[in-house]
Amino acid sequence: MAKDPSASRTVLVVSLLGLVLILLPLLATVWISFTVGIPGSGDHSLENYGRLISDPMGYQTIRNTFIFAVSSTIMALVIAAPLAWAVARTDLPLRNSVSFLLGMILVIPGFLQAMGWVLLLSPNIGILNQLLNEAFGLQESLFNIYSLGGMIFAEGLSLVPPAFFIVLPVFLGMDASLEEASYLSGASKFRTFTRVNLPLALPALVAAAIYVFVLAFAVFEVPVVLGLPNRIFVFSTMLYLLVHFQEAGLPEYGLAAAYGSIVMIASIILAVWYSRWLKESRKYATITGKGRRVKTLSLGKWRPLAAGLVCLYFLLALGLPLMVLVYNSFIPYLVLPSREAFESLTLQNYLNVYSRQGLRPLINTGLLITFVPVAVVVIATAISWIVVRSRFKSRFVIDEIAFLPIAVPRIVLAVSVLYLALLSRHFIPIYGTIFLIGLIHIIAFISFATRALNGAILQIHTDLEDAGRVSGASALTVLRKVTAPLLKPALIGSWFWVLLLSFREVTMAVMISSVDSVVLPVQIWILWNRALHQEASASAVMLALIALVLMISMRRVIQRISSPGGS
Amino acid sequence: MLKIVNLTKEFEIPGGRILAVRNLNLSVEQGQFFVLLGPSGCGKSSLLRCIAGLESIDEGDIYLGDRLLSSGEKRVFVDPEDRELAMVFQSYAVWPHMTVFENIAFPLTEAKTRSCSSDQVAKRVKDIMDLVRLTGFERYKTATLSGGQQQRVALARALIREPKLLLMDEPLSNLDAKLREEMRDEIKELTQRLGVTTLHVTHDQTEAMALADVLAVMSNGQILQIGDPETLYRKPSNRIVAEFLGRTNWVAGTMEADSTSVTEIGRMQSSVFAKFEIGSRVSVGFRPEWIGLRDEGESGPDRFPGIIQARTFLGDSVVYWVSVGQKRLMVKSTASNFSSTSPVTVTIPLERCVVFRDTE
Amino acid sequence: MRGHHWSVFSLRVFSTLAVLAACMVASVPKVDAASAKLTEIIEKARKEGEIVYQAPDPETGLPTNDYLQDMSGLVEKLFGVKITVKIDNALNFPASTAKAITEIKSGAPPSYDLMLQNSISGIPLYTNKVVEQIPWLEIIPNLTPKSLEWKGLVPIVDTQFLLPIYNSRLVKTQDVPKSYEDILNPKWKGKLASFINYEPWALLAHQDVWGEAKALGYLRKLLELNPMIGRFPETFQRVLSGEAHMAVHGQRERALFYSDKKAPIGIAESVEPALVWVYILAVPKGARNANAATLVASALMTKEGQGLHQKYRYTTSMFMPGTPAAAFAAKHKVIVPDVDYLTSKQFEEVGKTVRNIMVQK
Repeated sequence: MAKDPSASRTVLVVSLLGLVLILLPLLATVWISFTVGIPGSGDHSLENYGRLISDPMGYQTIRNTFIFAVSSTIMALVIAAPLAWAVARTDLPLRNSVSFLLGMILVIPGFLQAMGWVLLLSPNIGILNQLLNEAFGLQESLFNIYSLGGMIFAEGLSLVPPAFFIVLPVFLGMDASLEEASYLSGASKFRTFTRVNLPLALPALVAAAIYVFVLAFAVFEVPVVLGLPNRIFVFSTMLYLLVHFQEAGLPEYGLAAAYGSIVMIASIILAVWYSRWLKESRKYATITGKGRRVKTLSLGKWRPLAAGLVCLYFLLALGLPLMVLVYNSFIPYLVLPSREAFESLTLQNYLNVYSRQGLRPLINTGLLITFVPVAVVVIATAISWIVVRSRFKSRFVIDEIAFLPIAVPRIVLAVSVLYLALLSRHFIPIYGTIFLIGLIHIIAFISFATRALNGAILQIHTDLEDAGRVSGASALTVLRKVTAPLLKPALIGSWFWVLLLSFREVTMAVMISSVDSVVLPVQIWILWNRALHQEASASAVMLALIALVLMISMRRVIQRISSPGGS
Repeated sequence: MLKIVNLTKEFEIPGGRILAVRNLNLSVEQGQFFVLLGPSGCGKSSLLRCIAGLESIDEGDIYLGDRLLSSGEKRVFVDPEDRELAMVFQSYAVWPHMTVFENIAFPLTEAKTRSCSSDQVAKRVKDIMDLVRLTGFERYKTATLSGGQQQRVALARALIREPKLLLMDEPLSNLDAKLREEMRDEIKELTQRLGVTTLHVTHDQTEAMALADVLAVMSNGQILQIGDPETLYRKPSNRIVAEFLGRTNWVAGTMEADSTSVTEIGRMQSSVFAKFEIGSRVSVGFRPEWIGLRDEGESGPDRFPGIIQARTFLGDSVVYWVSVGQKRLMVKSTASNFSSTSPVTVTIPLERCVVFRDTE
Repeated sequence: MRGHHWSVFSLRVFSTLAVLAACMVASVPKVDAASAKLTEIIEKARKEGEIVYQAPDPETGLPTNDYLQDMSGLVEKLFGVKITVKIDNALNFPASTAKAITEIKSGAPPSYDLMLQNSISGIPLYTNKVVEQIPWLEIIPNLTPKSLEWKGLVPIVDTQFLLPIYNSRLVKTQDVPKSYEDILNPKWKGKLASFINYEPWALLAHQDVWGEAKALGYLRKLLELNPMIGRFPETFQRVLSGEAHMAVHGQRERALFYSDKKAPIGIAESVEPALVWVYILAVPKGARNANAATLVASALMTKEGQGLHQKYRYTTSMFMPGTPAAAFAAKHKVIVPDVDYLTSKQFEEVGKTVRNIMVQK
């Protein structure tokens, strides 16, 4: 790589460190895909790939997966983009609470949200279905949540938070005069949104779409609760079947790794396409330092409708599942609400959870959320900066690498890291400790943070940084003193969301945790796996309360990230 | 055309409120080119944004023709997209994701009241592009244009709808000197030709005086003086206006006798001192280019001896800094033969001076 | 392989007799050696002081801490050693098996000292030879070879019986199935639940039970009735909540626990055969606290230990005399999985076929 005046050595080193962290487990995944049996002790062969080809998941599964992923992505974006715009630029009522509420949605584990929908829309016992049947005298229920449509609905709702977060900083940072020019040319607010705001936000929207699509492609919780019972399989549930319900009892990690490798390759192709977008959109730098006049737009007569729609979304995505969770947490076993049910309300579930928990999980989770978000933001900023700003020829490769962990199914990623830690336990004794979980979180979430930061750094005109360099500051100083303050909303936002993600992450923690490194959400997972849904609900309610306390104490931070003008 | 009555606008900032515009009254006649001149922070941009509907107002009324656009007390507010005005922004605000054609055509194709067929649109865009001398640039992406070209796109976009009022927010401040002059002349010529009523905001006094039919100087949210440029330049109503329209030499003095003042550079006697009482303190102001320079010679009522301290060659003129009495005067002269440390005599046309009571 | 296959049940009987005979011959002079062995283990366990126990939480909803303390208390009472029992319940059976094997094969000590596994899910421990060889018969008083699985390698701590379970509020007494065939009645369409696991069908496919053709045929017919598919715990919950009227296979003991608490759940006990889910205790090779683990396992294999299992898991071992499980097994036809069948190629093939049938829609 030719010497690039725009790159500082420190930034390079940090981003390289991040890349190494990411590459190691990915390479381990590929390596594991060539083993049969226990990683490290089995034979090496192409057998897994052979099985993949000769005994594939089947056309139906792939088809289902694409329909599911594309549809829920579209649904999530259709909700998230206007919501982000409204929060960033208008006088939407309660707009300061939106980030807060979205954070709450993120914290509730996906399988419990899906469970909530089962209780509402199951054809046999769903509360809403029953009400409708009685009201209209129907024989068969109107809605069946155990369907592809039901899966798309539930998943679309729960994908809004990540999409919102990637898109919000871009709307916040947009130069207001571009919109104002449109109004003064006579265009209505709606037309301005579609002809000016939306196209200018397109790079961020594409980034969000790709990220959400890859998430939806590999997501597990909704398909396993809503699709599996009706034998509707998608990639993740099929993988789950292959891995956990194999003959001879051993999970087939090698096969899962083979599938994971294929998905990685597919996502590289996607990332290449995305990086072309990145190049195109360099022209869309909209923060020029000439002073951002930020004026919130009055929604006028649209205000009630907008507020109503936002409330509807939160009712569906947060309100109903929470109500179901709370109800579930107070009953001894699952019955529909009835007089009898209310007579049997009990606190036993909470007591059981309390006796299981102890302080250790609290401490472990506390450690995680203290260190992981900061590490992720630092590394992701370095990587995004190199990708967006530097002139290295390989910078798009770097971006693709940073993107890859999202594409690897969580189970596979966890196994690779587990195995690497086991191998290196003499040099780096973190196997079985909370630090291993922290490490895998960092690896997994760098890809999320870089999506958001790419878009945010793009928006800052290079003039501002060049001015810093010409004044004699090193590239690192410019990054610290010029870019970082301008990036503040995006940085704080990333930090906040990674904190929530790390707080509630469970799939990988389960694989890697040991007695001493149990974190809070693993408890919920364990209970849910034993179908102790009532105790799982109680545990989730407690988790949500802790998250609530956490977020209230950070509300100033949250307000900062959703208001225009940053500091 | 535009009538502003008792306009007040305040902003909330951390720590309190600031009054950006206070009790402002202003009228712009049909076809006038009205320039609002003032330093940064004087409230001129806020005023413009209030007129455009990008800000709400606290008190007062804004009328465009017979139409009430904004009113504080009557709680009227017309959305910016319904105001039938046009605006050229300081940053031009041309959309980077659209071509030149699309940018200019936008008010015709996207406005709420669209009434043109696409043929008509194409013709009107072509006409206006010819007018701003951008012919042939239709398909260019605006991000590839130079500052001057982007500005013309912004102008074309503003003019294509034949707006009732054209607002310009310091559009020339980002251009280099030569381009600025060219564009300045073009804008004046264009608006005159089309008969567009224009309200132009700037902090540059040369630009203001060159463009204005009517000039208003604004400071601290209020208008200090309105009139034609020449009057304001020659007869500013207070010190701030004077300073804002050009460099001024100020000399402090005390009235000694009727029409006579003892100043820092010597005794001055003139009818301009007539209305000031004996004993009062005054400030006398005169423009650098009014001062004459002669070789050392006799003094007189309008002659004062001095020594040249410094000399700056400007091309079409020379600026001398002359030490006269207790003051250092700035003199702008076409004579270039004086050099540093030469003793000279400065002649000051007293009857042209402006005199203000010293309020310190 | 076919020709050599004995009936699963008769093989058990034969091996039991053979071992009993060998024991009778060899038992007399071993008494001192046995207690010497036990004393040695106790001393080593005292130094270890704690174990990590891989097992699920109590199924009865009683506090886990109580469960662990009772276990600890029992060990102290029986052997005079204080052992702290820590529980690791994060991973399910197959995943924890894989984790232990991965660790052992790479030379590290396993995360768990004592593992509770299903005899089918834990099979890789057996095939990969990563279980500590412990002389259980010498250490545990009154233990019979019947209570050992995987060819005498590990003790059987409890057994559960899989039978159809139903929601007693939705299924009238006259509709309760008396045989598996009753379940294939079209009136159950859309009202059934079934496991995603292939094991029950693979067990039924054994030639001495139903044979492959009948088992797979049954499965296909069952799937035409659109049962809701899920894992053990979910299937159970579905019957409990009424979302499914009936589950083709359910854990009898879990159902008993709920019906004893007056929940509307019933067991179709007249259906035959009942499949037996065998749970074993294994000490993985290289476990840091192998001796303490041995003591804990031994404690659970005594009468009081079985009482603990009954209290916290509502299960006991049918191979221990006088237990509720033994009482049920005495009166019903039960199918116990055999390790040779479980490790056979046929078992694997049937499993694959079952999965393919499940996935086809």
